[in-house]
Amino acid sequence: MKHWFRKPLQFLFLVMGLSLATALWSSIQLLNSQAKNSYEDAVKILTAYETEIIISKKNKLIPIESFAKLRRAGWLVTPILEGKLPSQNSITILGIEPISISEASSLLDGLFRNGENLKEFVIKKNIGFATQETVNSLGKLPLGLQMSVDESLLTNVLITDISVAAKILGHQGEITRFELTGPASSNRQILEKLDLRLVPSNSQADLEQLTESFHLNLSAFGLLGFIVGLFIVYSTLNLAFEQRKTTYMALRSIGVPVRTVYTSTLIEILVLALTGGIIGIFLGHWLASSLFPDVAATLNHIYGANLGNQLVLSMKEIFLALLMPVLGSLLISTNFILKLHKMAPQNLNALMAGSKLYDNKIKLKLSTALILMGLTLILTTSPVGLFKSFFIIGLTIIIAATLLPIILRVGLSFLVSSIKKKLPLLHWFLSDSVHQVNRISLSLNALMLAVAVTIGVDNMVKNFKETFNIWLEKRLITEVYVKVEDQNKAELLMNGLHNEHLVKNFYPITSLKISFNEQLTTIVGFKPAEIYIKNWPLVKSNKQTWEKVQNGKGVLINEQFFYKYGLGIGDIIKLDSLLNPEKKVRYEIVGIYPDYGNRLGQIMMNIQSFQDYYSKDIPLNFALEIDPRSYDSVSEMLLSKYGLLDVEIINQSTIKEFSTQIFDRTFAITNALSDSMIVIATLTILTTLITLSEIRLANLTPLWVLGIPRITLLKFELAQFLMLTLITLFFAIPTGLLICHFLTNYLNVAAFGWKLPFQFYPMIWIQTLLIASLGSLIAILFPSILMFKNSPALMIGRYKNDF
Amino acid sequence: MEPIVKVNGLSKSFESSGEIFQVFEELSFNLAQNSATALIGESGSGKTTLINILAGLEPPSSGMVMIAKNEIWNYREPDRARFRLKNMAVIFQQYNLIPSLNVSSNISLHSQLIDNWDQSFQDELIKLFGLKNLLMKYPEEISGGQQQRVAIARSVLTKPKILLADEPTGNLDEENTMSVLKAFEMLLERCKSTILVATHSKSVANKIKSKLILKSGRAKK
Ligand SMILES: Nc1ncnc2c1ncn2[C@@H]1O[C@H](COP(=O)(O)OP(=O)(O)OP(=O)(O)O)[C@@H](O)[C@H]1O
Ligand SMILES: [Mg+2]
Repeated sequence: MKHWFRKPLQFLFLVMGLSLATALWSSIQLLNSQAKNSYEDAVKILTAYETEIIISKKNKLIPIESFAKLRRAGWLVTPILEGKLPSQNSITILGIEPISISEASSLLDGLFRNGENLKEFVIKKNIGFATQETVNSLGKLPLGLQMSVDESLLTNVLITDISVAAKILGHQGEITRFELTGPASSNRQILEKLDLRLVPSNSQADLEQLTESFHLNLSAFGLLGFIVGLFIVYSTLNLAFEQRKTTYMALRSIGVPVRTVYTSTLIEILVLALTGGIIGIFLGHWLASSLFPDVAATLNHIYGANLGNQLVLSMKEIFLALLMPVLGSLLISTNFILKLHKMAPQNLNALMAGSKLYDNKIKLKLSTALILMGLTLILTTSPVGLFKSFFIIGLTIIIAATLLPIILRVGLSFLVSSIKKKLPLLHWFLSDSVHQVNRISLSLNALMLAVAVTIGVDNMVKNFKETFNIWLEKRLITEVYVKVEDQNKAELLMNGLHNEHLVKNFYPITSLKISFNEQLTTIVGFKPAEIYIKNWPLVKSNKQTWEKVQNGKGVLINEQFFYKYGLGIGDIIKLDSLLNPEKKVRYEIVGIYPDYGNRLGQIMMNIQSFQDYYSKDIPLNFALEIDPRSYDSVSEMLLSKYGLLDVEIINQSTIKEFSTQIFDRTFAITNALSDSMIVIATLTILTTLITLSEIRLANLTPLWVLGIPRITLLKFELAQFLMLTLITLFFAIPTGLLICHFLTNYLNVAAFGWKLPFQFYPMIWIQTLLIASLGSLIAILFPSILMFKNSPALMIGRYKNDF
Repeated sequence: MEPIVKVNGLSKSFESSGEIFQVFEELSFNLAQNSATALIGESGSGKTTLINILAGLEPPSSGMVMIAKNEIWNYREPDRARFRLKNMAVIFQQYNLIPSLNVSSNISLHSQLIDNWDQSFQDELIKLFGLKNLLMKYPEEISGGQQQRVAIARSVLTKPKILLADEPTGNLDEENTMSVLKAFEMLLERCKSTILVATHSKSVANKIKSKLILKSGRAKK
């Protein structure tokens, strides 16, 4: 251990390397779980209106007295009065009852998590909460309200006490609906008596699926972060121990028992790992929370879910965070001890000849890489499961990490032999670079993997966003979507919508769950009209696709169905008719469409065929094509004329805008994370170079004493690192894309049955490369300049004392 | 003829842990062109230090060093380095081979850098020092004595105006020591070099007439 007292700087950087790796890993973990939470909250908001509510049977306002009656009957409800501000139609006023609503976990969580707001609300009746934007657009409306800004709310929503809202809306003593704040009571008679009805929630299962998929990808990202961190730990410790080989050999040659050397090494390395790890946890925490306030704030802004400004450190997280440095150091020490073991004590020379030994292994490594590549190829051609896709991603990383130093070495060696002796300095430069690759290949690999993972994950996230947009587009074929519960309303719509001049067109949609190959499958009946032909996304189709759908012979299937049964275009499926149990209906598959977020297989057919063989029920869903500007009047018309509820009308463009925003914020977190991964990887380069600077000095001193000016050597030094780093970075692009490819096209298919669309985003690569180059440049400059600043004395000392 | 190396009033002291340690003081001597001089003195007397100062590697505390009419310690560091590259060759006690080059490249690098490389001379030296079988090896793969011979071959190959050798035979057997002396003779004959050899070896010192003795801080000629 004396080693460290002699070289405090090295020690410092070693611990720094370890803690940075841990910090990276633990902050990824933390932010991942936070991103998951916030994303989940986002979904909650998207489905906010799907919490169970109680409304009037006759779709009228409900007298406030019902509130007390319901509560007494055991219903945990809170009253809500909702309406448009008479003077400013774009703003919704939401009157609430603060005490009972605070029981609910709803979109107002954010507002009331902070107890102050609740207190204020209760004490001062005439207070209103809204975002700054809303407050601004409220302007000087004479509402007589004291406004309090809260960014956790939705824009254009004004929250007031229910009595205040009643005054403003002119509905004294009345409310719009009750929201359940707890499980539904079994006492249903009271609802009848009060002429109320419970509207059950129909949660958006597909969005939940999408969420799960996102979670899985985040977990994959976490895993990749772990691997990168492991690399950083490994490379940091490796260097430290390479340098001490001689000391160990000396110890052994003076007769210190092998076991003593081993145990002391192991203990030392574990102490180091734990020290670095613990510092790293705090660092990671700090990193996460410093990235987080910003993200949290924006998240709050959108969906009012308060993520809590405190990131909680759980035992599990600590354990996982420490696992990495400990695992890394165990790995390295095992490797190192094996190496030591192979060397007889008298073989000091061979030990020093590390680079030559390496040379012999190059063929071995190359063949290993090739074999692994073959294995990966074989694996990818056969069907891929979840475990297998993780395995493939792991293989990709190993292959890339094996190949990078080989490519660098072989390429440089080739240059060396082609340049020969005409340019002696260049010749030296390249030969030296080959040797340098051996020393820093681990850190170069860490950088390469960090950049590759960043590119891969960023690309994946971008793909995800794209996917989500497609998912939205698909559901946004029309401006309005109507979803009703009962047949009466549906019939009314079916018969009446023709005559509405505000509705350009409407398309009924109906669906059923059937069993196909003993698995639950959804069949959907729709009208294959022009608007579908134009807009419905298809991943596979042919010229006759729509023609066959229109004549009822062809059906479209979703990707999940395709992957599940391996049935593709041109294949025939036979379905049992529900209306005529004897009959099997034959359909030809004519198209495949993406259906992100849905786990079930789905078959879409002409609604005519659906009604012939499956159900004559009137469709409950309708897509309404309207002029987007007339949304308000259309919804007004649907409400008043057809007795629809607010919750039955879906304004698609609002949803779209809203969800896109949420996605953007969630992705902001992953972006911040992947960027910090690069920064940490460049810091590894820095620590490596500082650790190496002594060796470098020993390499450069002979040239200086021959008479090469130091400034020339400095230039060479910089050029060398830049060259190696740039090659490394470029190598990272294909690696990253491969990782992304496996993430989106294998992992997702395995877990959820759909492929994410795979696209290239060169801007991401360029951006990532820029960040990485800049970071590496700084990492290179610092130790090089440090090394050369006071080098004459150092160099003299070096070659005099310690060769 | 004007001496090629003039040293006047040269002093060197080190400061370590507050104490000043005087290696030598007011050292003055000249080296004539095309001559060989043995630098003799007990271990720690400052031989290496003196050679470093002459080579422009380590600054003197005071005094003047004039080499071929160049007062090297008045130069800026890069110029001094270039001067060293062009005019001098130094054989170090610790060899200072370049780890990333093989023996062959190590031998030729310096002379190639100053565009003074001579294939036949190189072959001659390789033969003389018995390095033929080591050419493709790297410094770390050969013994100390072998490294020392490579270092000597490298320096001699540059046909330097001035050759500074610090204990060049420290690790060598009798036969190789003779080869070294032979190489020095070649330089004296063919290239009119000036040679300063720091040595403990009686046999080397005896072969060289002119002697410079470092003793308790004074050079005696
Ligand atoms: N960097 C330094 N700092 C302090 N003292 C030094 C330094 N370098 C050398 N010395 C001291 O200066 C004296 C001369 O050292 P030098 O290496 O020149 O001796 P030498 O004559 O070459 O010895 P040897 O024959 O053993 O090689 C020694 O006493 C040494 O301890
Ligand atoms: Mg000496």
